[in-house]
Amino acid sequence: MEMTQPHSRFSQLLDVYNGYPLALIAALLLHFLVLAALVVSGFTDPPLNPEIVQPSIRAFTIDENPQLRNEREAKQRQAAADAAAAERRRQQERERQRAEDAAAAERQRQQELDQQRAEQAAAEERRRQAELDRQRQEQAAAEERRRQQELDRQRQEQAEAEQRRREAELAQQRAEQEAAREAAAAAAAEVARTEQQMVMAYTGVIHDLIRQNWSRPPSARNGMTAVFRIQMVPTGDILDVELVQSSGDFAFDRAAESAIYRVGRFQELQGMPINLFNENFRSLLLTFRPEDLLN
Amino acid sequence: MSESISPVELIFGASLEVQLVIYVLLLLSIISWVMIVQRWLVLSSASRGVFSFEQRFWSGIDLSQLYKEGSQMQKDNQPVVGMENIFRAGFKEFMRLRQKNEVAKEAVMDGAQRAMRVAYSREEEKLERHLPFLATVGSVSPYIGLFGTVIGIMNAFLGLATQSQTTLQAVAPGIAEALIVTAIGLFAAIPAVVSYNRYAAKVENITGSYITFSDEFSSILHRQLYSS
Repeated sequence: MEMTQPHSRFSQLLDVYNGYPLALIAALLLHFLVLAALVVSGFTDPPLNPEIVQPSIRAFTIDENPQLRNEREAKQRQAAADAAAAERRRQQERERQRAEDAAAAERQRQQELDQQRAEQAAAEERRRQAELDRQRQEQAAAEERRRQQELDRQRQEQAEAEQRRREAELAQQRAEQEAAREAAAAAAAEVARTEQQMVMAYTGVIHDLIRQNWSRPPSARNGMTAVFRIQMVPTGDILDVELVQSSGDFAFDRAAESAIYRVGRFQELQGMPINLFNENFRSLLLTFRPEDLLN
Repeated sequence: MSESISPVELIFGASLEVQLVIYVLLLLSIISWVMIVQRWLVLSSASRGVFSFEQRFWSGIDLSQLYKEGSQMQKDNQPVVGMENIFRAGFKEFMRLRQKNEVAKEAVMDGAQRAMRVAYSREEEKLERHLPFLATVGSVSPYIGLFGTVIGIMNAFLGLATQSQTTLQAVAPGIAEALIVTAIGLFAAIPAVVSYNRYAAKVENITGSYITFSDEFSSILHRQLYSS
């Protein structure tokens, strides 16, 4: 049966023990995935460094330990002896220094003279070299500036072309969207019109059927109006008829009501799409006038 | 601090009470997910069933023909569910009572309606099963998580009391371990609450269409009874 097709796909899943095993597998899978995600994110972290807490503990233990204290004192004594030896060494050093200073002063004067001469020659050489360098650099800079300007100009031209192209594209897109929107609006209007036409056609059928079954009572006068609300189901059967507004004439109301009951079933409504029916015909107002049956 | 501890290490390194709470919450979460998936299957199947049966019913098919099709489906071991069950219960009772001549018309109508009501409440019960469990998990598991957190923080502070010099590193892992229990509690609660609300609305929707259908069907039976 094609009617049961959409429903059987789901009931197949439910066939095996009401779908509990499937649900269990899905739930376990989900939790394992979450756990696995946590584990993976945990492994990428650096391991815990065990040295963080140690310094404070070590500071405590040093003060409490006598052996360590002895060691420290020995170290202090050693340091004092070292200092005395160093003082002696410095004294000897100073005497030697004074003798050397005299000889050194003579040597130094000689050296300074030589050095001055050499320096003058070197300075001359450096100045010439610097002049050359500066000229070369200036040339290079000018070259660079020119190239840069050329590049800028090219880039600007490209940008302008790009801008023009993009604007053209945008305009085209906008035009296309406009066209699409118009087409959609036209299609929607078409659908609405056909629906409206269907509703009118079915209403006409209903009115015709009732008119055929209606016999006007002799007490009917112009200007009388009776309004009925009828409830229908999709087979076209009338479930309920209710008088909404009386015409004031009992015979007229009765005649109209019995006309509806005489039709009993609007078989023509059976082929209608169910949503159209629900919107328009499940509860329908019918107005009776002696001139004619109008909506 | 650049060092960080992974959540999994926290869970397995936690104290015994906290671990116990974590396992309870994990179990609740797994069970509630089983319920969520199973209810999803059942409810989607039910709402599809409503749609397809209404189409068949209003297609103008003869009612006894529809009844026979259902019997055939039962014989083929295909389950007959939801709205069709209500229809079958009402129609069966109606035919059985009408065949006896001495039964009054009102009694036939009453019998059919009663049978439909019974079938309806049975169907409703089927749809609503397990939903209270989801509601309970949704409202209770944050509290369980909080309980685990309080215990964990108590442990952390007790450990702090035995040390003469307190540092942040001494308390931080304990507090993190305690907080992860709250996280797991919320992890269990949020899907349960969301799905409970969603499914409750869906059940209401489906049972509403059952009620509408049984009203319409009984008015059809009524007309058949009095027009013949």
